[in-house]
Amino acid sequence: MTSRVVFDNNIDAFDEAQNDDKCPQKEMVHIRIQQRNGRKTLTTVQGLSDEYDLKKIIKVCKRHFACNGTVVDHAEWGEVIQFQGDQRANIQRFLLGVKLARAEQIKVHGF
Amino acid sequence: MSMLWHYCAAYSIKQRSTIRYNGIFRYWGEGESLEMSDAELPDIDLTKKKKKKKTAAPLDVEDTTDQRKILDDAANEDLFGGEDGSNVDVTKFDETLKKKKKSKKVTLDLGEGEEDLVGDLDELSLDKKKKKKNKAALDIGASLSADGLEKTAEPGQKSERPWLDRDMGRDGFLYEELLDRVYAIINKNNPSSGESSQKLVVPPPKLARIGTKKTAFSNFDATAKALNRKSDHLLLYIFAELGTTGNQDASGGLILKGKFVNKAMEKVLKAYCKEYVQCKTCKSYQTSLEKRDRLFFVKCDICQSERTVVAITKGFQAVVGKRARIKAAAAAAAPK
Repeated sequence: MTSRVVFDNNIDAFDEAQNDDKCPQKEMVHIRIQQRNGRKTLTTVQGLSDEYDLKKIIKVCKRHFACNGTVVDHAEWGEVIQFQGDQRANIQRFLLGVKLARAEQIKVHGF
Repeated sequence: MSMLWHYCAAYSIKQRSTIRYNGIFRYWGEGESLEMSDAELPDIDLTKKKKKKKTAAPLDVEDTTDQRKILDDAANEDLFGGEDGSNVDVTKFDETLKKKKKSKKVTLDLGEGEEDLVGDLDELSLDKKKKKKNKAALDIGASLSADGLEKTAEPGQKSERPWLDRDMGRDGFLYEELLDRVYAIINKNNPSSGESSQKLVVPPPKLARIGTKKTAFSNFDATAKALNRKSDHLLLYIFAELGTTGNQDASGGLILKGKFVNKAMEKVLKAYCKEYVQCKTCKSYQTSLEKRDRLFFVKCDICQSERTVVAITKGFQAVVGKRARIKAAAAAAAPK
Protein backbone atom coordinates (compact mmCIF):
# COMPACT_ATOMS: atom_id res chain seq x y z
CA MET A 1 0.00 0.00 0.00
CA THR A 2 2.63 2.49 -0.96
CA SER A 3 0.61 4.10 -3.73
CA ARG A 4 -1.28 7.18 -2.71
CA VAL A 5 -4.81 7.84 -3.78
CA VAL A 6 -5.13 10.88 -6.02
CA PHE A 7 -8.60 11.91 -7.08
CA ASP A 8 -9.67 13.45 -10.35
CA ASN A 9 -9.21 16.99 -9.16
CA ASN A 10 -5.57 16.29 -8.42
CA ILE A 11 -5.96 16.82 -4.70
CA ASP A 12 -3.85 14.43 -2.72
CA ALA A 13 -6.18 12.85 -0.22
CA PHE A 14 -3.38 12.36 2.28
CA ASP A 15 -1.85 15.74 1.81
CA GLU A 16 -3.50 17.18 4.85
CA ALA A 17 -2.62 14.27 7.07
CA GLN A 18 1.02 14.52 6.10
CA ASN A 19 1.15 18.23 6.52
CA ASP A 20 -0.30 17.78 9.95
CA ASP A 21 2.88 16.25 11.25
CA LYS A 22 5.13 18.94 9.90
CA CYS A 23 3.06 21.94 10.81
CA PRO A 24 3.76 23.04 14.39
CA GLN A 25 0.47 24.90 14.49
CA LYS A 26 -1.99 22.68 16.34
CA GLU A 27 -4.45 25.04 17.92
CA MET A 28 -6.92 27.52 16.59
CA VAL A 29 -5.72 30.97 15.69
CA HIS A 30 -8.15 33.65 16.75
CA ILE A 31 -8.02 36.93 14.92
CA ARG A 32 -9.97 39.61 16.74
CA ILE A 33 -10.64 43.25 16.38
CA GLN A 34 -11.05 45.81 19.12
CA GLN A 35 -12.28 49.34 18.86
CA ARG A 36 -10.14 52.10 20.16
CA ASN A 37 -10.93 55.75 20.33
CA GLY A 38 -12.49 57.33 17.31
CA ARG A 39 -12.35 55.17 14.22
CA LYS A 40 -9.16 53.48 15.27
CA THR A 41 -8.96 49.77 15.80
CA LEU A 42 -6.61 47.11 17.01
CA THR A 43 -6.17 43.61 15.61
CA THR A 44 -5.03 40.80 17.87
CA VAL A 45 -3.79 37.40 16.79
CA GLN A 46 -4.01 34.81 19.49
CA GLY A 47 -3.03 31.16 19.51
CA LEU A 48 -0.04 31.00 17.17
CA SER A 49 2.30 28.15 17.99
CA ASP A 50 5.25 28.72 20.33
CA GLU A 51 7.60 27.39 17.72
CA TYR A 52 7.07 30.40 15.56
CA ASP A 53 9.23 33.40 16.18
CA LEU A 54 6.51 35.97 16.54
CA LYS A 55 8.96 38.84 16.43
CA LYS A 56 10.09 37.81 12.99
CA ILE A 57 6.52 37.43 11.84
CA ILE A 58 5.76 40.90 13.06
CA LYS A 59 8.78 42.35 11.36
CA VAL A 60 7.52 41.14 8.01
CA CYS A 61 3.89 41.97 8.68
CA LYS A 62 4.59 45.49 9.79
CA ARG A 63 6.25 46.24 6.50
CA HIS A 64 3.64 44.51 4.38
CA PHE A 65 0.60 45.91 6.11
CA ALA A 66 2.18 49.31 6.69
CA CYS A 67 1.22 49.35 10.32
CA ASN A 68 2.81 49.01 13.70
CA GLY A 69 2.60 45.95 15.86
CA THR A 70 3.90 44.28 18.99
CA VAL A 71 4.04 41.00 20.80
CA VAL A 72 2.21 40.98 24.10
CA ASP A 73 2.92 38.28 26.62
CA HIS A 74 -0.23 37.30 28.42
CA ALA A 75 -0.38 35.05 31.45
CA GLU A 76 -3.35 33.07 30.20
CA TRP A 77 -3.19 33.30 26.44
CA GLY A 78 0.54 33.22 25.87
CA GLU A 79 2.17 35.42 23.29
CA VAL A 80 -0.27 37.50 21.34
CA ILE A 81 0.38 39.66 18.33
CA GLN A 82 -1.15 43.12 18.19
CA PHE A 83 -1.45 45.21 15.09
CA GLN A 84 -2.69 48.71 14.70
CA GLY A 85 -5.73 49.09 12.54
CA ASP A 86 -8.04 46.52 11.03
CA GLN A 87 -5.56 43.96 9.69
CA ARG A 88 -7.84 40.93 9.93
CA ALA A 89 -7.98 40.19 6.21
CA ASN A 90 -4.29 40.94 5.82
CA ILE A 91 -3.08 38.71 8.60
CA GLN A 92 -5.39 35.91 7.51
CA ARG A 93 -4.03 36.06 4.00
CA PHE A 94 -0.50 36.17 5.36
CA LEU A 95 -0.92 33.16 7.63
CA LEU A 96 -2.43 31.14 4.81
CA GLY A 97 0.07 32.37 2.27
CA VAL A 98 3.17 31.36 4.20
CA LYS A 99 1.37 28.28 5.53
CA LEU A 100 1.76 29.08 9.17
CA ALA A 101 -1.75 27.81 9.72
CA ARG A 102 -4.42 26.02 7.74
CA ALA A 103 -7.64 27.67 6.73
CA GLU A 104 -9.74 25.70 9.18
CA GLN A 105 -7.47 26.67 12.04
CA ILE A 106 -8.04 30.36 11.55
CA LYS A 107 -11.05 31.98 13.07
CA VAL A 108 -11.81 35.60 12.40
CA HIS A 109 -13.98 37.24 15.01
CA GLY A 110 -15.83 40.47 15.05
CA PHE A 111 -18.03 42.30 12.61
CA MET B 1 -40.07 50.99 9.24
CA SER B 2 -38.41 47.79 10.03
CA MET B 3 -37.82 44.75 7.99
CA LEU B 4 -38.22 41.08 8.63
CA TRP B 5 -35.24 38.90 8.26
CA HIS B 6 -35.62 35.35 7.35
CA TYR B 7 -32.75 33.18 8.03
CA CYS B 8 -33.01 30.18 5.84
CA ALA B 9 -30.58 27.48 5.10
CA ALA B 10 -28.74 28.26 1.96
CA TYR B 11 -27.91 24.71 1.15
CA SER B 12 -31.15 22.80 1.16
CA ILE B 13 -32.82 21.49 -1.92
CA LYS B 14 -35.05 24.47 -1.63
CA GLN B 15 -32.19 26.69 -2.49
CA ARG B 16 -33.05 28.48 -5.66
CA SER B 17 -31.69 31.34 -7.60
CA THR B 18 -34.63 33.51 -6.65
CA ILE B 19 -34.08 36.35 -4.28
CA ARG B 20 -36.35 34.63 -1.82
CA TYR B 21 -33.90 31.93 -0.91
CA ASN B 22 -30.69 33.50 -1.99
CA GLY B 23 -28.51 33.89 1.04
CA ILE B 24 -29.11 33.51 4.70
CA PHE B 25 -30.98 36.74 5.19
CA ARG B 26 -34.25 37.62 3.68
CA TYR B 27 -35.58 41.09 3.69
CA TRP B 28 -39.10 42.19 3.40
CA GLY B 29 -39.36 45.89 2.89
CA GLU B 30 -41.99 47.59 4.99
CA GLY B 31 -42.67 44.41 6.88
CA GLU B 32 -43.29 44.17 10.57
CA SER B 33 -41.20 43.16 13.49
CA LEU B 34 -41.76 39.77 15.00
CA GLU B 35 -44.19 40.88 17.64
CA MET B 36 -46.24 42.78 15.18
CA SER B 37 -46.46 39.90 12.79
CA ASP B 38 -47.50 37.78 15.72
CA ALA B 39 -50.23 40.16 16.59
CA GLU B 40 -51.40 40.31 13.04
CA LEU B 41 -51.35 36.59 12.59
CA PRO B 42 -55.09 36.22 12.32
CA ASP B 43 -55.07 38.74 9.51
CA ILE B 44 -52.36 37.19 7.48
CA ASP B 45 -53.38 33.69 8.36
CA LEU B 46 -53.11 31.68 5.22
CA THR B 47 -56.02 29.47 5.92
CA LYS B 48 -57.94 28.32 2.95
CA LYS B 49 -60.68 30.90 3.13
CA LYS B 50 -58.23 33.72 3.16
CA LYS B 51 -56.45 32.27 0.22
CA LYS B 52 -59.61 32.44 -1.79
CA LYS B 53 -59.87 36.08 -0.95
CA LYS B 54 -56.34 36.72 -2.01
CA THR B 55 -56.79 35.03 -5.33
CA ALA B 56 -60.05 36.82 -5.71
CA ALA B 57 -58.44 40.19 -5.28
CA PRO B 58 -57.04 40.49 -8.80
CA LEU B 59 -60.43 39.46 -10.12
CA ASP B 60 -61.85 42.85 -9.55
CA VAL B 61 -59.16 44.43 -11.56
CA GLU B 62 -59.82 42.68 -14.81
CA ASP B 63 -62.65 40.74 -16.29
CA THR B 64 -60.60 38.51 -18.50
CA THR B 65 -58.81 37.16 -15.51
CA ASP B 66 -62.10 35.80 -14.31
CA GLN B 67 -62.31 33.16 -16.96
CA ARG B 68 -58.72 32.31 -16.56
CA LYS B 69 -59.19 31.83 -12.89
CA ILE B 70 -62.08 29.49 -13.45
CA LEU B 71 -60.00 27.46 -15.86
CA ASP B 72 -57.18 27.53 -13.41
CA ASP B 73 -59.39 26.37 -10.62
CA ALA B 74 -60.62 23.51 -12.70
CA ALA B 75 -57.08 22.48 -13.46
CA ASN B 76 -56.24 22.78 -9.82
CA GLU B 77 -59.20 20.66 -8.88
CA ASP B 78 -57.96 17.94 -11.17
CA LEU B 79 -54.44 18.07 -9.96
CA PHE B 80 -54.58 18.92 -6.32
CA GLY B 81 -58.17 18.73 -5.21
CA GLY B 82 -60.39 21.61 -4.26
CA GLU B 83 -59.22 24.94 -2.96
CA ASP B 84 -60.19 23.99 0.55
CA GLY B 85 -58.03 20.92 0.27
CA SER B 86 -60.98 18.65 0.93
CA ASN B 87 -60.26 16.04 -1.66
CA VAL B 88 -56.53 16.49 -1.80
CA ASP B 89 -54.76 13.23 -2.15
CA VAL B 90 -52.03 14.05 0.27
CA THR B 91 -50.43 10.68 0.28
CA LYS B 92 -50.46 9.91 -3.36
CA PHE B 93 -46.72 9.80 -3.54
CA ASP B 94 -46.31 8.07 -0.24
CA GLU B 95 -48.73 5.38 -1.16
CA THR B 96 -47.06 4.55 -4.39
CA LEU B 97 -43.83 4.25 -2.51
CA LYS B 98 -45.37 2.05 0.09
CA LYS B 99 -47.02 -0.09 -2.50
CA LYS B 100 -43.71 -0.73 -4.09
CA LYS B 101 -42.27 -1.69 -0.79
CA LYS B 102 -45.18 -3.92 -0.06
CA SER B 103 -44.89 -5.84 -3.27
CA LYS B 104 -41.23 -6.35 -2.57
CA LYS B 105 -41.95 -7.65 0.85
CA VAL B 106 -44.49 -10.10 -0.43
CA THR B 107 -42.14 -11.44 -3.03
CA LEU B 108 -39.47 -11.80 -0.44
CA ASP B 109 -41.78 -13.78 1.73
CA LEU B 110 -42.43 -16.20 -1.08
CA GLY B 111 -40.95 -19.63 -0.99
CA GLU B 112 -43.03 -21.08 1.80
CA GLY B 113 -46.42 -22.53 1.18
CA GLU B 114 -48.17 -19.89 3.21
CA GLU B 115 -47.37 -17.05 0.86
CA ASP B 116 -51.01 -16.10 0.46
CA LEU B 117 -51.53 -15.86 4.15
CA VAL B 118 -48.40 -13.87 4.61
CA GLY B 119 -49.38 -11.58 1.79
CA ASP B 120 -52.82 -11.09 3.27
CA LEU B 121 -51.44 -10.36 6.67
CA ASP B 122 -48.95 -7.96 5.24
CA GLU B 123 -51.60 -6.14 3.31
CA LEU B 124 -53.91 -5.91 6.28
CA SER B 125 -51.34 -4.53 8.60
CA LEU B 126 -50.01 -2.18 5.99
CA ASP B 127 -53.46 -0.93 5.18
CA LYS B 128 -54.09 -0.13 8.79
CA LYS B 129 -50.80 1.61 9.13
CA LYS B 130 -51.44 3.55 6.00
CA LYS B 131 -54.70 4.87 7.28
CA LYS B 132 -53.20 5.82 10.57
CA LYS B 133 -50.36 7.58 8.90
CA ASN B 134 -52.68 9.45 6.62
CA LYS B 135 -54.67 10.68 9.53
CA ALA B 136 -51.62 11.60 11.51
CA ALA B 137 -50.15 13.52 8.63
CA LEU B 138 -53.36 15.42 8.15
CA ASP B 139 -53.61 16.20 11.84
CA ILE B 140 -50.09 17.51 11.93
CA GLY B 141 -50.87 19.59 8.94
CA ALA B 142 -53.86 21.14 10.60
CA SER B 143 -52.10 21.97 13.82
CA LEU B 144 -49.02 23.29 12.06
CA SER B 145 -50.88 25.48 9.68
CA ALA B 146 -52.68 26.83 12.70
CA ASP B 147 -49.61 28.11 14.46
CA GLY B 148 -46.12 26.98 13.46
CA LEU B 149 -46.19 27.49 9.76
CA GLU B 150 -47.88 30.80 9.84
CA LYS B 151 -45.11 32.28 11.90
CA THR B 152 -42.71 31.89 9.05
CA ALA B 153 -45.18 32.81 6.38
CA GLU B 154 -44.41 36.23 5.10
CA PRO B 155 -47.02 38.90 5.60
CA GLY B 156 -47.02 40.33 2.15
CA GLN B 157 -47.03 37.03 0.34
CA LYS B 158 -47.65 37.05 -3.36
CA SER B 159 -50.85 35.62 -4.65
CA GLU B 160 -50.73 31.97 -5.42
CA ARG B 161 -51.24 32.51 -9.11
CA PRO B 162 -49.32 35.59 -10.13
CA TRP B 163 -49.90 34.89 -13.79
CA LEU B 164 -53.55 35.81 -13.36
CA ASP B 165 -52.84 39.50 -13.63
CA ARG B 166 -50.44 39.29 -16.50
CA ASP B 167 -50.54 38.88 -20.23
CA MET B 168 -50.44 35.13 -20.53
CA GLY B 169 -50.15 35.13 -24.32
CA ARG B 170 -46.92 37.02 -24.15
CA ASP B 171 -45.24 35.82 -20.98
CA GLY B 172 -46.74 32.43 -20.39
CA PHE B 173 -45.93 30.66 -17.15
CA LEU B 174 -42.67 31.70 -15.60
CA TYR B 175 -40.48 28.92 -14.33
CA GLU B 176 -39.84 30.69 -11.04
CA GLU B 177 -43.51 31.10 -10.37
CA LEU B 178 -44.29 27.52 -11.11
CA LEU B 179 -41.42 26.43 -8.89
CA ASP B 180 -42.76 28.60 -6.09
CA ARG B 181 -46.14 27.07 -6.62
CA VAL B 182 -44.85 23.51 -6.49
CA TYR B 183 -43.04 24.23 -3.26
CA ALA B 184 -46.08 25.92 -1.80
CA ILE B 185 -48.18 22.87 -2.59
CA ILE B 186 -45.59 20.46 -1.29
CA ASN B 187 -45.36 22.41 1.92
CA LYS B 188 -49.09 22.64 2.26
CA ASN B 189 -49.53 18.93 1.87
CA ASN B 190 -46.49 17.85 3.88
CA PRO B 191 -46.12 20.37 6.67
CA SER B 192 -43.53 18.25 8.42
CA SER B 193 -41.16 18.18 5.47
CA GLY B 194 -38.86 20.63 7.15
CA GLU B 195 -39.15 23.72 5.02
CA SER B 196 -40.81 25.59 7.82
CA SER B 197 -38.06 24.74 10.25
CA GLN B 198 -35.34 26.03 7.99
CA LYS B 199 -36.37 29.60 8.33
CA LEU B 200 -35.94 31.77 11.31
CA VAL B 201 -37.64 35.06 11.69
CA VAL B 202 -35.71 37.50 13.81
CA PRO B 203 -36.38 41.18 14.06
CA PRO B 204 -33.52 43.17 12.60
CA PRO B 205 -31.25 44.69 15.22
CA LYS B 206 -32.04 48.29 15.97
CA LEU B 207 -28.83 50.07 16.71
CA ALA B 208 -28.67 53.69 17.72
CA ARG B 209 -25.74 55.76 18.76
CA ILE B 210 -25.74 57.11 22.28
CA GLY B 211 -23.45 60.09 22.33
CA THR B 212 -20.25 59.38 20.45
CA LYS B 213 -18.89 56.34 22.23
CA LYS B 214 -21.83 54.07 22.96
CA THR B 215 -24.34 52.16 20.91
CA ALA B 216 -27.77 51.00 22.02
CA PHE B 217 -29.11 47.71 20.70
CA SER B 218 -32.71 48.43 21.58
CA ASN B 219 -34.42 45.17 20.61
CA PHE B 220 -31.80 42.93 22.13
CA ASP B 221 -34.21 41.00 24.34
CA ALA B 222 -36.60 40.43 21.46
CA THR B 223 -33.73 39.06 19.40
CA ALA B 224 -32.69 36.67 22.13
CA LYS B 225 -36.29 35.58 22.45
CA ALA B 226 -36.64 35.01 18.73
CA LEU B 227 -33.54 32.85 18.79
CA ASN B 228 -34.86 31.00 21.85
CA ARG B 229 -31.71 31.71 23.82
CA LYS B 230 -31.09 33.31 27.16
CA SER B 231 -30.17 36.93 26.78
CA ASP B 232 -27.10 36.35 28.96
CA HIS B 233 -25.71 33.87 26.50
CA LEU B 234 -26.25 36.10 23.51
CA LEU B 235 -24.84 39.01 25.47
CA LEU B 236 -21.67 37.12 26.24
CA TYR B 237 -21.28 36.17 22.62
CA ILE B 238 -21.77 39.70 21.38
CA PHE B 239 -19.26 41.01 23.88
CA ALA B 240 -16.72 38.37 22.95
CA GLU B 241 -17.13 38.84 19.22
CA LEU B 242 -17.09 42.59 19.22
CA GLY B 243 -14.37 42.75 21.86
CA THR B 244 -16.28 45.22 23.91
CA THR B 245 -18.30 45.53 27.08
CA GLY B 246 -21.62 46.99 27.99
CA ASN B 247 -24.72 46.55 30.06
CA GLN B 248 -28.38 45.82 29.69
CA ASP B 249 -30.94 48.49 30.27
CA ALA B 250 -34.36 48.13 31.84
CA SER B 251 -36.33 48.09 28.60
CA GLY B 252 -34.67 44.97 27.24
CA GLY B 253 -31.96 46.78 25.35
CA LEU B 254 -28.24 46.46 25.35
CA ILE B 255 -25.80 49.32 25.59
CA LEU B 256 -22.48 48.56 23.98
CA LYS B 257 -19.31 50.49 24.34
CA GLY B 258 -18.02 51.54 20.96
CA LYS B 259 -19.52 52.43 17.62
CA PHE B 260 -21.36 49.71 15.79
CA VAL B 261 -23.64 49.67 12.82
CA ASN B 262 -26.54 47.43 11.90
CA LYS B 263 -24.56 45.47 9.40
CA ALA B 264 -21.92 44.56 11.95
CA MET B 265 -24.51 43.34 14.40
CA GLU B 266 -26.27 41.32 11.73
CA LYS B 267 -23.04 39.60 10.92
CA VAL B 268 -22.46 38.74 14.55
CA LEU B 269 -26.01 37.46 14.96
CA LYS B 270 -25.66 35.36 11.84
CA ALA B 271 -22.50 33.80 13.22
CA TYR B 272 -24.26 33.20 16.51
CA CYS B 273 -27.13 31.48 14.75
CA LYS B 274 -24.81 29.26 12.82
CA GLU B 275 -22.81 28.27 15.84
CA TYR B 276 -25.28 28.15 18.68
CA VAL B 277 -28.76 27.93 17.18
CA GLN B 278 -28.78 25.91 14.00
CA CYS B 279 -28.99 22.16 14.24
CA LYS B 280 -26.07 20.73 12.32
CA THR B 281 -27.93 17.56 11.52
CA CYS B 282 -31.20 18.76 10.08
CA LYS B 283 -30.39 22.45 9.63
CA SER B 284 -33.44 23.52 11.59
CA TYR B 285 -33.40 26.52 13.88
CA GLN B 286 -35.83 25.15 16.41
CA THR B 287 -33.31 24.18 19.03
CA SER B 288 -32.73 24.69 22.71
CA LEU B 289 -29.54 25.25 24.61
CA GLU B 290 -29.01 23.50 27.90
CA LYS B 291 -26.13 23.24 30.29
CA ARG B 292 -25.17 19.86 31.67
CA ASP B 293 -22.02 19.00 33.61
CA ARG B 294 -20.47 22.32 32.75
CA LEU B 295 -20.98 21.62 29.05
CA PHE B 296 -23.39 23.33 26.72
CA PHE B 297 -25.59 21.20 24.54
CA VAL B 298 -27.70 22.30 21.62
CA LYS B 299 -30.69 20.03 21.31
CA CYS B 300 -32.77 20.07 18.19
CA ASP B 301 -36.52 20.11 18.73
CA ILE B 302 -37.15 18.61 15.31
CA CYS B 303 -34.75 15.70 15.02
CA GLN B 304 -33.79 15.39 18.69
CA SER B 305 -30.12 15.33 17.91
CA GLU B 306 -27.72 16.81 20.39
CA ARG B 307 -24.32 18.35 19.99
CA THR B 308 -21.96 20.07 22.32
CA VAL B 309 -20.97 23.64 21.69
CA VAL B 310 -17.95 25.38 23.09
CA ALA B 311 -18.47 27.80 25.90
CA ILE B 312 -18.03 31.40 24.90
CA THR B 313 -14.58 32.68 25.72
CA LYS B 314 -13.57 36.22 25.32
CA GLY B 315 -9.94 35.44 24.63
CA PHE B 316 -7.18 37.93 24.77
CA GLN B 317 -8.25 41.50 25.32
CA ALA B 318 -5.73 44.16 24.52
CA VAL B 319 -5.46 47.18 26.69
CA VAL B 320 -7.36 50.00 25.12
CA GLY B 321 -8.06 53.25 26.88
CA LYS B 322 -6.21 54.89 29.67
CA ARG B 323 -3.43 52.77 31.10
CA ALA B 324 -3.00 55.21 33.94
CA ARG B 325 -6.59 54.65 35.02
CA ILE B 326 -6.15 50.88 34.96
CA LYS B 327 -2.98 51.19 36.99
CA ALA B 328 -4.73 53.43 39.46
CA ALA B 329 -7.58 50.96 39.78
CA ALA B 330 -5.11 48.11 40.32
CA ALA B 331 -3.25 50.15 42.93
CA ALA B 332 -6.50 50.95 44.69
CA ALA B 333 -7.51 47.28 44.74
CA ALA B 334 -4.12 45.96 45.88
CA PRO B 335 -3.84 47.32 49.43
CA LYS B 336 -7.23 46.00 50.43
